Amino acid sequence: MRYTYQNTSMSLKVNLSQISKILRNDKDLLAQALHLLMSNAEEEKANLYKFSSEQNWTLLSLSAHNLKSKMKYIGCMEAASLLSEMENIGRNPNKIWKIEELLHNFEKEYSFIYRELSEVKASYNA
Amino acid sequence: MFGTSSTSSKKLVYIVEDDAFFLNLLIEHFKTQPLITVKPFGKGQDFLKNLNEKPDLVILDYILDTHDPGAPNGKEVYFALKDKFPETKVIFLSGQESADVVFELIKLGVRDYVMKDEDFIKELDDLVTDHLKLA
Repeated sequence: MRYTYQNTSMSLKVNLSQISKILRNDKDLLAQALHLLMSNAEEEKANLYKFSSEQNWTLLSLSAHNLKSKMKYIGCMEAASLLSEMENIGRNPNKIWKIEELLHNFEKEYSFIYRELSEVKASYNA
Repeated sequence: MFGTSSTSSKKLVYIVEDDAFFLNLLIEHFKTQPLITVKPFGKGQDFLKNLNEKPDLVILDYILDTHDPGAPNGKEVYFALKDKFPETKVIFLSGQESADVVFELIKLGVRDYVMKDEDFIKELDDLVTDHLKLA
């Protein structure tokens, strides 16, 4: 089931049906959960760039791992797949040249996800 | 984080999860279970410091405190728990897809490992119900 907001059924990247169910469709709790999800995701995304520039592949792998679980949970499988690849490369850095491209692709994918999450969050706060 | 309550007839479940988003979701989920009291911990060391009461079940994240190199990981927390309360059941939770991780846990005697994907809370719920004989 895809999440529907503002009375419009849209094809979204994010699937918040599990979160909505757990939080009993409570708008305040949902807004809090999305705020936490988005702030954590922003923090881990910043870490990906930081650890990449520092060439700290172990910590890059761990940040990708943390973010991957969240992306999977909200149904963003393409973003999760890019993060999974970064996680694996970080653990076994023989294809480190791919990291820049993966970061670029993830950034592009995440911009859509972030926009959708922001719109949904705004609808809860309205 | 949300409060917890306890009565002696309830089953005591500890959750050790360093990801605040998932920890809060799990707390909210188990709030609706009348036969369970949940004690949440965001850090492995906080869990180990408060291990005075024997839990019926522990839900334990495999990778803990990733940005703190000195913090105990899920495996270390598991060994410390088993040392003190060998009978306590443990369900490992993680986003690790690696078969090596699964084999490693099997070698440790861990029976239950839940992958954090879209439906993981449903799978976790089934295991919790089974372990605590709540059905």
